Amino acid sequence: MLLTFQDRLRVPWRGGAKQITLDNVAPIALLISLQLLAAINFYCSLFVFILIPLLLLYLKRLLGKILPKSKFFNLWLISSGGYLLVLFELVVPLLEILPQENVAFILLLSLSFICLFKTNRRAVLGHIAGHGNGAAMNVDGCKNGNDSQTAVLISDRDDSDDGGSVGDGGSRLACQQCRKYVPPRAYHCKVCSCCVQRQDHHNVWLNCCVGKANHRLYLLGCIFTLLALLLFANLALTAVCHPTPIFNVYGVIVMMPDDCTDMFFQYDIALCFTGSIYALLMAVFIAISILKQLCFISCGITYTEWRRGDHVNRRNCLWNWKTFCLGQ
Amino acid sequence: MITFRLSSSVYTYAAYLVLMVWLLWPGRFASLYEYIEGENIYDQLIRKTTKNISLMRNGLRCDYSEVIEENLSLYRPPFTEDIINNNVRIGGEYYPEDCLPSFSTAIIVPYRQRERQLNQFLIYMHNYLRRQRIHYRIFVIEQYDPKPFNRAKLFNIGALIAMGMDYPCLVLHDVDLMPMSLGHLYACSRKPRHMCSSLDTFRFNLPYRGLFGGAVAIESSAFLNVNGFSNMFSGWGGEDDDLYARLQDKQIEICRFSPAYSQYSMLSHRKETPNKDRLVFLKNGKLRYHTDGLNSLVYKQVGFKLHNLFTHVLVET
Repeated sequence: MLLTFQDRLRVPWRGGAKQITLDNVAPIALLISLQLLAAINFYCSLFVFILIPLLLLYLKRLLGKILPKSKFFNLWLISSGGYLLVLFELVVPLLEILPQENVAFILLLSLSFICLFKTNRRAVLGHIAGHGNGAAMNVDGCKNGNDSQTAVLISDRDDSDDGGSVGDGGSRLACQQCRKYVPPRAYHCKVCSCCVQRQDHHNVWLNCCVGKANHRLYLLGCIFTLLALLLFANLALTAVCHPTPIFNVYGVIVMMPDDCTDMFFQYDIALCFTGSIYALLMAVFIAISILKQLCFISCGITYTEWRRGDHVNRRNCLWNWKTFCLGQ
Repeated sequence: MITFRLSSSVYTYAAYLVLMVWLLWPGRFASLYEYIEGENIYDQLIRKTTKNISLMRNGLRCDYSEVIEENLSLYRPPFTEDIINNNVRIGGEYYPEDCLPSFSTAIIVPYRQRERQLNQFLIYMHNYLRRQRIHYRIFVIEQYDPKPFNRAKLFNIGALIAMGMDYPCLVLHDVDLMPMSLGHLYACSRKPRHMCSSLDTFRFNLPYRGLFGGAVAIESSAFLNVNGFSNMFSGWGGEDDDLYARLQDKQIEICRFSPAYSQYSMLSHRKETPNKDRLVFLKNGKLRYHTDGLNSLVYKQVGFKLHNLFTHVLVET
């Protein structure tokens, strides 16, 4: 019954009807419903903002098992950005916000969108494709199936950073799933069904792997997103709450909200308030992610290597960052 | 097919351009406005006092340049906590004794059921205004009936009483507004002045140039010229815009001091119920400028008390 309904759910599109799957519709409907519900009163907002992280955590585990290629989280992220933009431009009292503050917000939002979009587009550059000549080789070695996300590389691992020479057959690495030789520090992604050069992790929010080709863009996109969310929350909260001035920067007064009572007296003000809390919630998780990234980059390893327990000592923090920035 | 794609691409870019222009359109945001710089403030003020002050000839004129130049921020303890060195005269009047003030101001505060805010207001304002070394008197006009609060009518009543005492300058002041900059002298300028153009609840920005609410300094003669406020705006909202429209109708411009001198803080309070008819009254207000105002003011004075810190007028509207 559900499959039939899903099969019939289509929208008119250029070149024929396009099928819309349930996991594509759900994030938009869920997000907007939860935001409108949160603005009713304080207890509803408390309930919603506790529910959202738990719901996403549960759905991540569930969809990771039954539907690994789902675009649910990607669409949730895009819907969140769209919702906050529409909220800022239509509901937040803009007569209290300077034009340059709005320009700063639009700029940060555009930069974060561009970086994350390019991250998604450049993911394929890191994929190791083509047909290797490994079919003719006789591959020996034991199997190790304890890691469901990344395949085990067999044969002797060469952990030096220079690539093994083709002539030296004994030190080349082979991926069991791809059935071909791969460079060092390349790991297989089960969702993408291919090996990724220096894979950090598969990001469900961007629906792609983060690896050598797009790691820098990913980090930059996260930073811009964090700044945009913090700026949104600050502008919206100081517009609807009672602000207190902190300091002056080039004639622009930087403020913090200090009295947020009576927020649910008016529904549109409550929407601004709950939207700001949601932005701060997103900012917290993105900040945690950025901190993790900074730690791993400083140690010179990727998240995949850390999870596999490959504690290889790269040289030092400065050298690791230089390597990361130069994309070597 | 290629042509179709090109036109589709052009439409997409046009849509993006329109969206970006709308997103960044400055008219949707806080207004930038013309203002009087700090060094020109004193020249813009009208030096006029009540008769009893003018008749005093004992000594030098007060000097205000230091107060304006320093522009201290006084909105902090101990000025917000208690009256310092209470030398306020009965009825909330004060004038410095060591020099002759150049300005006499009646501060008119409409009031009903906000005891805590009134207490904070009186403590801070007396500490603030005495340091400005002007002659002033605080009138609190309390509405003593259960009808919807009519702020404009209370201003009219207070203005009549103050003008009866020969005050040349009126400051129409809300009870929940606190000036943060000492350099903002509570005196009248040549044009009616919107005092709180940098209000913290508006993020220290001016939402729109026609905003004329909160705290206003206007000469008694100008207030008479526009026939005061309309008496029809019961409930919240609209009467400020009506006064602004009256001034525009008489070709009287308004002015503001620079944001550094116009910073105000608003005390927290529960929001009032908006007046649903205020937009209609604003629209047809032009028809009633000459018939609705000071010349049609009807009220009953229930009490007139001289308290230690203010003159208390109780009225039924």
